[in-house]
Amino acid sequence: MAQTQFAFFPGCSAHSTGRAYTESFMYVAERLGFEVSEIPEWNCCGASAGHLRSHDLGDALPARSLALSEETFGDRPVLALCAGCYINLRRALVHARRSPEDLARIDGLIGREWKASAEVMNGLEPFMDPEVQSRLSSCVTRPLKGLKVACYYGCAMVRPRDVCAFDDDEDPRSMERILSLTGAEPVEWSFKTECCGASHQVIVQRDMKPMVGRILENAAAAGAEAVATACPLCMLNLDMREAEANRQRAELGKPPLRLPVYYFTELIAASFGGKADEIGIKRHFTPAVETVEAARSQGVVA
Amino acid sequence: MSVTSDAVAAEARSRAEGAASPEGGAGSPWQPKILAFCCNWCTYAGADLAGLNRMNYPADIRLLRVPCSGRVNPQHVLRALQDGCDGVLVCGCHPGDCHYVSGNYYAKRRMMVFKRLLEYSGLRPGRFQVRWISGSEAGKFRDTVVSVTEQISQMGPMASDAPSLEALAGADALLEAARGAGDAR
Amino acid sequence: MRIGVFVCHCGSNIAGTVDVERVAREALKLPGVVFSDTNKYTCSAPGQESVCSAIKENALDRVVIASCSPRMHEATFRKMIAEKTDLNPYMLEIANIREQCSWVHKDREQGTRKACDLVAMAVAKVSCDRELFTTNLPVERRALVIGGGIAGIQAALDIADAGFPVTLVERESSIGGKMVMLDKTFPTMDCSACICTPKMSEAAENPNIEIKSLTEVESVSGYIGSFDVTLREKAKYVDYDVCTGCGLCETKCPTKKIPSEFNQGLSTRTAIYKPFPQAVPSKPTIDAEHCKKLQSGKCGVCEKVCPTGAIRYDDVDRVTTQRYGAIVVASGYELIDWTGLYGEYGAGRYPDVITGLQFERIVNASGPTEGHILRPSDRTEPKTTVIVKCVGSRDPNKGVSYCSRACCMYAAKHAHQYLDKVPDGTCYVFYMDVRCAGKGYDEFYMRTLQDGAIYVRGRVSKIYPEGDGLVCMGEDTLSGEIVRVKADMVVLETAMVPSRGSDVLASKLNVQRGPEGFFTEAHPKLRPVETNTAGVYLAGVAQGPKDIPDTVAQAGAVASKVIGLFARGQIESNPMLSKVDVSRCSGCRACVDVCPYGALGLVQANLRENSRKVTRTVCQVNEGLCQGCGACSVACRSGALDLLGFSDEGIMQEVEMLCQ
Repeated sequence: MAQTQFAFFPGCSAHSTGRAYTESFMYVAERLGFEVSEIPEWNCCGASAGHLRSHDLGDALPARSLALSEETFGDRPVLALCAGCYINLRRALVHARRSPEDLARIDGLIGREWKASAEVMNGLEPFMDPEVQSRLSSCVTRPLKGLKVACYYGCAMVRPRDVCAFDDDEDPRSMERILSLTGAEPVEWSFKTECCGASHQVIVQRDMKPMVGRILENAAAAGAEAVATACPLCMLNLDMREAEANRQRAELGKPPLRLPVYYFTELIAASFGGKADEIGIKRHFTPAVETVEAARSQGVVA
Repeated sequence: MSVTSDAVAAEARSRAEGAASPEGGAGSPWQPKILAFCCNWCTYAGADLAGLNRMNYPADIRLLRVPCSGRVNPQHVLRALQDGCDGVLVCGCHPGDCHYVSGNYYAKRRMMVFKRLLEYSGLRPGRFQVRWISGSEAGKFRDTVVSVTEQISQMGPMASDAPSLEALAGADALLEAARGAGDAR
Repeated sequence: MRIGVFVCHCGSNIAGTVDVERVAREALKLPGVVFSDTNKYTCSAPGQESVCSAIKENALDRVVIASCSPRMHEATFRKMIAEKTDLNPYMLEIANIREQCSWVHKDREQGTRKACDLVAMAVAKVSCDRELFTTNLPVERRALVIGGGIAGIQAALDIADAGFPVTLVERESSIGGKMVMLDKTFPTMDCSACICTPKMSEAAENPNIEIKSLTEVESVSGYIGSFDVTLREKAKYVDYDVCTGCGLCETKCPTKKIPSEFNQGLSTRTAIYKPFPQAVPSKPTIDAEHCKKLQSGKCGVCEKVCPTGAIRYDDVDRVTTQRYGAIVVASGYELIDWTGLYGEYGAGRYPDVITGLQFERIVNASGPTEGHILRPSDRTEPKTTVIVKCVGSRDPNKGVSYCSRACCMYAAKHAHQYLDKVPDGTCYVFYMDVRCAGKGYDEFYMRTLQDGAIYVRGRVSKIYPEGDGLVCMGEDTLSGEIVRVKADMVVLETAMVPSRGSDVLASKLNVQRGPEGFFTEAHPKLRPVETNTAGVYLAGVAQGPKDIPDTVAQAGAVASKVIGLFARGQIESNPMLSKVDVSRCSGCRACVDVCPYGALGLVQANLRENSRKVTRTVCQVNEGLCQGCGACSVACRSGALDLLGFSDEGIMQEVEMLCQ
C-alpha cells in the first residue's frame, strides 16, 4: 500500500520563494490522490544557522515541529520540500533515534514527549513508490517527449549519507527514474550533486558566482535542454543567476546558455497537461514556458 | 627422601579428628579462597609468563586449567561458589583470538547470562567475574588477580555473606537454570 | 586406586619458596595417595628414572607430578611414562607449583599451603582420569590445490617436486591467475609473463601435477589425511585428448565480438577460444553462453574446420571424487567493482577512466594496443595521466577498510611505465600515503619521483568530462589547495577483495574468514599458512592482500607443511576429544551447532534400550575433526557429551577438593 498521507512542513520557502514548487507539487499530489496537511504551529527548521549556533538548538528547532506533527498526525511521514528543511528535520530525527538517552535529551529541550516515530521525506521520496509511479504514468497525457533534462539534486539533499540515505550520495538516480515516466529523457552528467553556492550568496558572493555557471555549463555540455531541481534554494540560485552567468560568458566571448530550470514537479505537472499559470512555470526568471510547450507539442496525447 | 603412608597416618588421623594441624591452616586469620578457570592457550599461558617474569601477586588464587573457556560449565562455577570458594573467575582468550575459533564467545554468552542470573538472585557482584587475558598479558593477569583478590577480601568470607548464600541456596533451580545458560549459544 | 605424588624441588626454584617435603607429606593424607616423594630435578634423567622405578615398585596406577607448568613438561612426562613404564601416559596430572606458585609468591607458608592445594586438586583430577589411546591415522599422500594463480602453481610445483601427486584446480579455462595478466613486476621490472608462463608450462609438464581447468570444488568431507573431495569439471565442448591446440577453430568462429576477459574488456574474443596464447592447458573451450551452435543449433563451423574432430557439442559436466591428504587454498582475489561504488568517478561511464589491471593490458606488448599507451576512447596517446590510489582501499564508507598493500608499488610502476613510454607526458599520482616497505621498494618510488611523476597528497573528489578530456578535482592536503587536473586518461588503483565464491568455499572447507572476507590463518604470527582446520592450508592473497614475492614465499611455506605431513605418512590423533554417551543423547543437535569444526553430526543408531532394539537419532563425534575444545560438552543438555582428559567429573572433583 503506497504512502499517500503526508504531514507538510512548509518552512520559510514554500509560501514565498518556492511557491512554484508548492503549487506544482500540490497540483501533482491532488491528481495522485495524496493527502497533504500542513503541520499546525510549525516553526523554522533552523536553516543554516541553528545547528551552527549550538547542537541543542539544531536538534530542538526541528524536533518541535516534528513533535507537533506527531501529536496531530501520528506516524504520517513529514514532507519537507526544501532540501535545507529536509536535512535539518532529518538530522534531528537521526539524532533522536541514536539512543533513548538522545531522545530524552531532545524531549527535554522541547518539553514534549516526542517519540521520533514518523519519517521525514524530501519531495522526491513520495514518488519512489512503484504504485505511485504506475499511477503517475497513467496520468501523463502530454508527455514531454524527448525533453533532455539534467536532474540536479544539489549538495544538501543526499549528504551526509548517514542522515539522508535515500539515494546514492555521489550518483543519485531517483529524479531520473521519476522524470523518465513523463517522457523526458534524463541526461548523464557530472554535477548533479555539486554545491550551487546558495548559502554563500550573501556572505561570499564573489566566490559563489562561478559555481552556478559551471553547473549549468556541465548540464549543457551533456546535451541537456533543461535542468530539474527538487529544492527551492537550488532553484532560486540557478534560475535567478543564469543571466549573470551568461553575462560572464559574454565577457569571455561565449554564447549564452538557454537552459530553463524547473522543479521536477513542474515537469510532472506539465506532462499531466497542467496550464503554465497553474503549475508555476510562469514564475521563473529564465523563460521556461516555451521549452515545456515545445516538448509537449511533440508528445502524443495518450 | 621418601615418605611412606604409615609414617604420617597418625598425623592424618589427628587432622580428621578436627585438631589444628601443627603446619598451619586452622587458626590463622581468614584468607579468601578464589578459584580461576583458565584456558590453556591464553590466560594459563599469561599466568605462566607472570611466573617467568617473577611478578608478585596474592597467594589466594588457585588456577584450574581447562582447554578453553568454552569448556567451563556454569555448573562448575556454581559448585565452587556453593561448596566454599569465596570468589570465582573465568578467564579466556580475548574475543576474536580463541584458539578454538569461537569458544570464548560461547563462554562470554553463557557466563554473562549466568552471572546476571546469579546476581539477580542476590549474589554479590564481584564474587563471580569473567575476564579476557591473553598469553602475553602477564601484567594484566597480575593486576586482575590483585584487584579481584582485593574485592573478594573486602566482601569477607562467603560463609558470612547471607544474601549470596541465599542466592546459592536454591541450588536445584539454579542448576536447572545453569543448564539453560549452558545452552546459550 | 594407587596414586603416587612426586614433588619437584627444581633446584631452589620451587624449594626456595615452597616446603616441598611438607607438600609431599601432606599429599599422603589425600584419598588414594599411597606414595609420595620429592626430587631435585624431576625432569632430569635420574629424576625420571626415580619416578619410573617408584611407579613400578609401588604398583602405582596414577601419577601426579608437582613441578613446573604442564605447558613445559607435560609432554616430557607423558613420553617418559609411555616409554619406560606399563602405565597409560594419560594417567598423569601436573600440579603447577613453579610458574603459578613459587615464582610469584614470597611468603613460604602461603606458598607451601597453595602448593598443597594445587597438589590436592591434581590428585582429585587424576583419580578421575581414564586410560586414553592415540591412534595413527593414515595420510593420503595426494594434495589438492585450489586456485591456479602463481600461489597455487608454486605450491603445486613444490609439492610435486617432492614426489607427491597434486591436483591443481582452476575455475577459469587457463591457469596463471592475475600474474599472467600483468606486464612488468615491481621493483625489478621483469616481464611478468616471462617469469610466470614458464612456471605454468612446468606445472603442465610435471608428471605429478594434474591440472583441472574450468573445475570447481563441489563438496568436501573428511579430515586431515583423508579429505574426500568432489570436483565438478565443467563441459569444455572440446575433447582435450584429441585436440592439438592448433587454433584453427578460433580463427573461423563467426562470433567474434565477445569482450575479452583476459584483456579486461579492451579487446574481443571468439566463442571458441583460448584466453591468451600461452594458456595452460593450451587448448580452447567453447563459451556456451555465446556459442551460436549451443544456443540456437545453427552454426557448427568449428566442428567442420577441426582437423582432428575434437569438438563435442554434447559434452557435459564431469563430477569426480578423489581422496586427498591435504588441501591448499590459493583462491586469490578480485579487484573491487568500483563502478557501483564511485559515482563521483563516473561509475564506469567514461571510457578513459580505467583500472590498474586495464592499464597493465594496455602497456603490455601483447595487449590490445601492442604496448602503445593509447586511451580506450579514441586510441590517442594521453599526454596527461592521473593515477588515483586507494580506490576502494582504506575507505570503509565505500569500499574496504584495509590497505591492499601492493597498490602503492604498482601505482609507482604505472607512473614509471607511462613516463617511460610517453616521454612528453605528465603524470599525477593522487595518494593518501605512500607505503613502500619491501626490498628495493622505496628506492623504486624515489626513482619514479625522479622520472617526474607528480605526487599529490589527497583524494580525487570528482572526475567529469570536459571537452575530450577528464577533469579531476581534488585537494592537495599538504598545501591546502584545491587541485584541478585536466587529464586525458585516469587510472584507478582499485582494492583487492576476496575472490567471488570465497564464502561458499570457506563453508565447504570449514575454514574461517575474517571480517574482510579473506581466509583466516591459524595464528597470525606463528601459524601463518595453516588454518584452524587441520590439513587445510592457505597461500597467496586468499589469506590477505600481498604482492608476488610474499605470495610465492607463502606458497613455498605451504608446500613444506604439506610435504612434512606426507613425509610422516600418518598422524597421531589427539585422544583428548569429545565422547558421546549415546544412551543419554536425545539428538537435539545443540552440539552440532556449537562445534566450530563441524566434528559433530547426527546419525541413525541402532541401540538397545530396556532390552529392546530401537533406532534413534544420536550425535556422533568425528575424531579426525574434533580438536578437543569442549564447547559441545557444555552445550549438551542431557550431559551425553564429555571431554576426555578434561571430564566433567574431573573438573568437579578438582573444584570440590579445593573447597574442602
